[in-house]
Amino acid sequence: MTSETNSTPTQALLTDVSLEKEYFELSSAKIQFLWMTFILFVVCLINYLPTLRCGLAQSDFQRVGIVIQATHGQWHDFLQSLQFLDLGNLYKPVGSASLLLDRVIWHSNYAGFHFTNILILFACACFIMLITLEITGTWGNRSRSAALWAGLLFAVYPLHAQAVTSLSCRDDLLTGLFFLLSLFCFLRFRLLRERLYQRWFFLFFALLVLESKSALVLPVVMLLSVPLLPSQLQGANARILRKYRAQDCSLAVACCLVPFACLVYKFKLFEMGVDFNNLAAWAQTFALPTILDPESFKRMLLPVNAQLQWPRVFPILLICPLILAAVSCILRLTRECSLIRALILLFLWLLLGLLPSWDHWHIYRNLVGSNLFFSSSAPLCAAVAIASIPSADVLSRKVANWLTCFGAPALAILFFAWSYALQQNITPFVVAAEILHKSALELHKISSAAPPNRGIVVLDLPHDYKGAPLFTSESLKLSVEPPFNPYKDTVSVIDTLLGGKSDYLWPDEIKRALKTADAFCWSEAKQSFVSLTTVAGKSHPAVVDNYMAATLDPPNAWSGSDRQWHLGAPQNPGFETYPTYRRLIPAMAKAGRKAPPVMTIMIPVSNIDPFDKTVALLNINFHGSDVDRQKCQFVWRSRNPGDAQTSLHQATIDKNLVWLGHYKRWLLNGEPTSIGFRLEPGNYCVDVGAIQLMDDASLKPVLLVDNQVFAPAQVLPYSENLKSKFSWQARRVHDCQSVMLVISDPDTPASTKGDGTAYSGKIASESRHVSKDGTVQLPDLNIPEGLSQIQVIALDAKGQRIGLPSEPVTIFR
Amino acid sequence: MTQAIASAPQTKNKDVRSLSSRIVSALRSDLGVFVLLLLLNLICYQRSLRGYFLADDFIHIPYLVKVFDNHPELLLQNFYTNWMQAQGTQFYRPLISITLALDYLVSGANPLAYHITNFSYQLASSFFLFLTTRLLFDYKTECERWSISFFAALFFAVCPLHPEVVSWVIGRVDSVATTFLLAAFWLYLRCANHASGANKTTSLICFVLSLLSKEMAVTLPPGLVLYEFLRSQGTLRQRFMSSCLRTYPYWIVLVIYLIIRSAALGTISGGYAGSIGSSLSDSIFRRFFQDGSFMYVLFPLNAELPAHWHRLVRILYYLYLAGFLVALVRALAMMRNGQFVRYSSWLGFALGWFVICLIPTYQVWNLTAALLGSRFIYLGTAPLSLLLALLVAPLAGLFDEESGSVKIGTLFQMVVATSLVGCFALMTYANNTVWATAGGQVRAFRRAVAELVGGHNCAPLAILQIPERYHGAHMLYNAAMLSVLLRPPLSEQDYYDKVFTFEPATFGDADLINVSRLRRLLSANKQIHLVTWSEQDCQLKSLHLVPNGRNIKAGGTPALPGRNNILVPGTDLTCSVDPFPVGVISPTLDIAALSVDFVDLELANVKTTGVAKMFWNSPDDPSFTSERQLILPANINRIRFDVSQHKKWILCQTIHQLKFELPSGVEIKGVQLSSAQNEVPDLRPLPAVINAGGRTMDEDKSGIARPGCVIGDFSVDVSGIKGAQKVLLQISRPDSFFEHYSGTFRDQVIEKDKSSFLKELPVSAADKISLPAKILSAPGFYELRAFATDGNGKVIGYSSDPIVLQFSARDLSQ
Repeated sequence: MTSETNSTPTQALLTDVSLEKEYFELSSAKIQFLWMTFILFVVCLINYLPTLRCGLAQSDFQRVGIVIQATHGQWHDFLQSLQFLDLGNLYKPVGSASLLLDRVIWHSNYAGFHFTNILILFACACFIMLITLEITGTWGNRSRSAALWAGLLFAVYPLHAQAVTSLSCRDDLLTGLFFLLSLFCFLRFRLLRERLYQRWFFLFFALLVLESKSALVLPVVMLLSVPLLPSQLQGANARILRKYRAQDCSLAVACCLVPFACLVYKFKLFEMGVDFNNLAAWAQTFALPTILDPESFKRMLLPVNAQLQWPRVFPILLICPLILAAVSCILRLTRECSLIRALILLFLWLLLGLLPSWDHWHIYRNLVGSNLFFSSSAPLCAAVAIASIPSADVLSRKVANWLTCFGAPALAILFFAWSYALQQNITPFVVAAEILHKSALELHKISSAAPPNRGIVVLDLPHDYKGAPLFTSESLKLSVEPPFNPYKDTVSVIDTLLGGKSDYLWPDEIKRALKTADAFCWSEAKQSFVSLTTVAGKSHPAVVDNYMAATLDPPNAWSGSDRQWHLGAPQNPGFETYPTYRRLIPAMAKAGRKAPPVMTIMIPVSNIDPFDKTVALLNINFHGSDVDRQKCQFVWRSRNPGDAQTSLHQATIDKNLVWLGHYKRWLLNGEPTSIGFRLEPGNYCVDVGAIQLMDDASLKPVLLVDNQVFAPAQVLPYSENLKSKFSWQARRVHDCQSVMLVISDPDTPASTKGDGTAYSGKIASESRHVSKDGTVQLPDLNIPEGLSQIQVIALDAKGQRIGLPSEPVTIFR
Repeated sequence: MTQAIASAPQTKNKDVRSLSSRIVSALRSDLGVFVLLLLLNLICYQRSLRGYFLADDFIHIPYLVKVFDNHPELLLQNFYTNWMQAQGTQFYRPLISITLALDYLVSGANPLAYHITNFSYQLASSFFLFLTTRLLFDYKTECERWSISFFAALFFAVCPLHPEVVSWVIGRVDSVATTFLLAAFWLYLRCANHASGANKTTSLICFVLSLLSKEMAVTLPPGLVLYEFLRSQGTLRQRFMSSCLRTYPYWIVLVIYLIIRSAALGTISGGYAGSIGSSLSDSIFRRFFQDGSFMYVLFPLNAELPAHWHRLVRILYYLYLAGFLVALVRALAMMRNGQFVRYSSWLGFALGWFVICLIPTYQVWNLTAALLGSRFIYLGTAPLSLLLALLVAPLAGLFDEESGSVKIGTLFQMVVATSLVGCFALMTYANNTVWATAGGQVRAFRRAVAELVGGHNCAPLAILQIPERYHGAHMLYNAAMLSVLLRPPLSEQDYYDKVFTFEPATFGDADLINVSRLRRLLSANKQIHLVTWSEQDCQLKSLHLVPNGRNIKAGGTPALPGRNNILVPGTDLTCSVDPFPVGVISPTLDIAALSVDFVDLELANVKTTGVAKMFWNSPDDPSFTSERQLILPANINRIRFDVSQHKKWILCQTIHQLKFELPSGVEIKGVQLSSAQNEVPDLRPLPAVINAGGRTMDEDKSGIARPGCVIGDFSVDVSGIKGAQKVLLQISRPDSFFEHYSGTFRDQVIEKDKSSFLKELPVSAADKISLPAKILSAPGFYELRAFATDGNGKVIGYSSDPIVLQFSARDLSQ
């Protein structure tokens, strides 16, 4: 029996007569949805319009470079980037493909690339809207206003600045999009049981698997949604509901297996050998503090770049709407019990979304790392919207109106506050883009003016501008070579090759480079490259003992001789003069009082060539605990403004050593004008004698490759057939009896602690050799896969390390 | 179809309920609760199981050794005499010695069995509280019954005031008494509810066992009367009479107990005697209401723990606020339902029981910021836990029976109650860490001493500071405890034979040291090895003290005329408080700490009363961490810091610099470092002279002389004191120590009511003095000291450092 035969005469009449509508039915769902989509698009475009001016920055060069090469017929690198199962390859195939598409459409107009990012964000906002509709539909009528607010909040969420502005964060955007698409399809499938949605779900889930580890999170969210968002399938009885629930759970579990299998293969999960005995210690020291970092959580609700200026009341403006929304939500909880389930689901989704990046999850003060929160911000926005807007059909109309009076203004305030914050957060990216553009022109000018046989060395590159990426050695090298620029052969960069603190350099490497090239440093004040000034200093060691001419900060710090009565306050620092030394006494903190001042004592120096005097030997006697030792810093000032400091490293009991030459701020800041100590408040004191400034040559061994010096910034490619010979010379290190050859962990700098004289503990292997001078063949060294560094360390008769480590050799296997 | 649609949410709710009900039913079983309590207690106290003996435990170990050395009658003796026949205390706790003897039987001197027993009693107390509170009230629903009793037991199990009882072996006195008391209460309630197998005799036996454990058990009959009074109907008189009638067997047992105890102790009250007892009696009001001790009950976190733990106090504060909200809403709801009267009677019982539990502690109650003395409230935490459970534990199921939805109010209550349990558990864990560390330190101390004196030709050791207390955890209080630690069975051999100590004979300020005895010892034993216990490094550190030397090497501090004085010229520096209190730092002194007894300060411009502080440092530790404080009266030109009686001064070895902090505007005109030779009589025992009883005044390793039936012979030298014409001898009352009253050895006033004997002698007769011991009233510890007086009997200078004497009853009868 067909439906026509069952229909009533009135129905038949209605189907026969098709009347054309005379006006738009504004209350219809489709029209409203179109309007909502349009509003979202306008909001996204207006807020992110300045990003169209941003060009390429840092790792964008590499990704876009591969794409450009592919369009020129060199497909090798691009095809390699599509192999998502290749270990160590961070590029995602869908992200690379999308950039290729951008290149095909927009050619070298990078504004188009950024426009694509905005479109993806807009799509994400639309799907957040749709998902919110689905969620609110589980306990009442679908709340369109809540859905629209969720989409709007997502579109202006200030932590999205980095994700949308950087092209290298395209993967984060696509991950978020596929996640939301997959989840929406799953929720629709649960509601309608239509195969079409199931097929779409599989497609988007497959793309998500290709793109990100977040694919592991989606099935868990799906699984949680089964009990927390009860199915509203109409006409189904309990048995059918049970069956459907079982199906949904099976689907989620099956989906879980796919990305898990990929991860097992990709990251060799079972070969890592998790040490279950140390699991608790591992969780304590690493994972828990990283994931449960309260500062990062705070920045989710106060998403402002701390390096920018903000109105004083602005944090209140950001928090008050959230409090209003929370109050509105709490009031509703007494009547709208199902709301809590939805909120629990969204909260768990937010937390689970962070898990794929558990090892590096952190949002810094300048919001670097906020791209990791792109996907997880979706549930946050949805939760705020759902918590604020009540559903009138569950509550009485009167109650709903009252609660809306709380929620709607709160959301409106939050929307405008977030929008303002987003504009501010985007500003550094726009400024950074301008700086990069300007510096490219300047480099072009400098390289054109350089003599034919003389190169250019670029030093001291700022890595970021208030959180927006600027230069790295790698990106600068890429930016000066084709296809972006043509002056590859004349410009070289000396910077940290691996991660770690960007303040460190290898002084000998620069000294060698200066023989054949002119050095230029980036000047923060002038926002341009300036020529490095060299200082003609004395060649013999300099002894600094002129405490009488020292300056003290704070100015009211007390001083006195040990031979006479003098005044001293525990909350005020000062120093006592003894016949052979000075006793520096920091302020002591007293409970409940304002923090006492930090004491800085600076002794003037002159005629010091920073490239010649690379080590400071301190005659120090420290009275206090090891914790207090960290509070005492060695400080120096140079011609260029700004203090630099480092904590003291204890070489022996009485003698302390600071490897000044390892610091950019010592080598590149011009002539040093004073050196001294900075003491934070604490219950300790330091007896200091004369300070000796000297060359580091007699303190460190030399490591050669095939009897040649190999610069740390260069990379030695490893192959099984390579017969390179590593030789070391440690004879000139005083008291050296043997040496230790240290190979760092892959992609870890050789020394990352303090001033480079101590090790971070991330060592792949170490081998001891009895002879002061010796040789070893490369195959004999157990080089791990990845980028590692090799160093030689001198040891004394007791096997204790002495002096400084050699300059490293960087090797890639 | 409509039915099908309607059934959908019900099915869902049923599923949710079935899972939750399964969890709840598993938890609701007695075994489930027991396992949960066991786990919670293990989390909190697992470190205690590896603990060691502490403080008073060292009195019980030799006693147990003696019991098992063919003297089992000693255990029986406890039933009809003072507990362990100890001097200075009067307790009746025979059952405790039996529990300790059982542990000794199992593991000898290994502390593991003792700690397991302590843990078991804590667990048993928690479980019996669960059983008791389950039967306590006429609950309306099973959920209400389970929830209140369950959370009361949880709160008790994780109560942060319990580490002293659980981790200190002898702290079990309270947990044993509480276990049996709660068991007696539970059995009484079973009888009252006519439960099958209930027997009042068993309850009475438990009550007797509780009474034999600690006097606190006397609170059970009044507690039962209160319970019956609140439960019964009628006029006040009828209710009171019926309550007494129902509980009369307990009163009869109590009366019999009091008669036996009085006969055994010779007094009805008992407790601490001597100077400890009298100083406790003098400070009842302060201890209860001025020291903030009830604030520590409310926020029970050891104040001496590292700062990061103190966040818990803030968290607890917010949880209390949430709990207060729960209680308020609950009270309002009950007022509307007409159940408030019933509920308030429950609260009244919990409060009343708590007050009853505190009454017997009136003499000893002293809860410090480091939670020292928290054992006195162990029983009191049972009603407190019940009170807290009544206020915050959820009283209804989590799911609505009709709609199946979650009850938000119940969920909130559950979250608050569970969070409180979690917060308390963390606090307990934190509080317990100091006890675990204290045990480890005592163990390390014993090992360190053994290493130093374990060899054959080792020099005798003098330990100036033993590990006395660690952030509120007891360790070693006196030489008697040290002697037990350093002798078998706790040590491999008798190390104590080679160790001199300077600790109080029984109890006292750990910073005070009898410097005269130290000087005598250093003069007599040139080879003696001086050490002190370093808490930070957990090891013994050597000291180099110069007996009476003058180790001045720094320039600018000329020694002016005067036999023993050093004058440091005035500063002309005025102290100020803006912006900070400024200290005046002296030139480098580098003087031997032992050569200085007093630091005198000449001042000018002292206009108002204030506080004067003196700090000092040493060449090894230049920070001014040690300090003495004095109240500075107005219009005074000279103040004196007595320093040599303080260990912190002596342990500095060499005084590098002095620093003074004075009220604003005060000017220092000069500083004088002087010896006590001209102001303090030199009272010395004469160890070489045999007295009439055939004994001598030779002091033992801990500085206690036992001269038998004669007090003597000793000498008093006042030749250095200008104007001294007579010597006044003063002997304290039994078990009373002069410094317990005044806090110093340097008294300038003779308080006759603190003496049992006073006698004035001419200076010429003071070379060799002896007195008959029978002038003393009772056996015990005594202190003997001397004053120099002028012709009119007025005291010149200070009292001498005392000699501690001990007499037995036999000595006094001869």
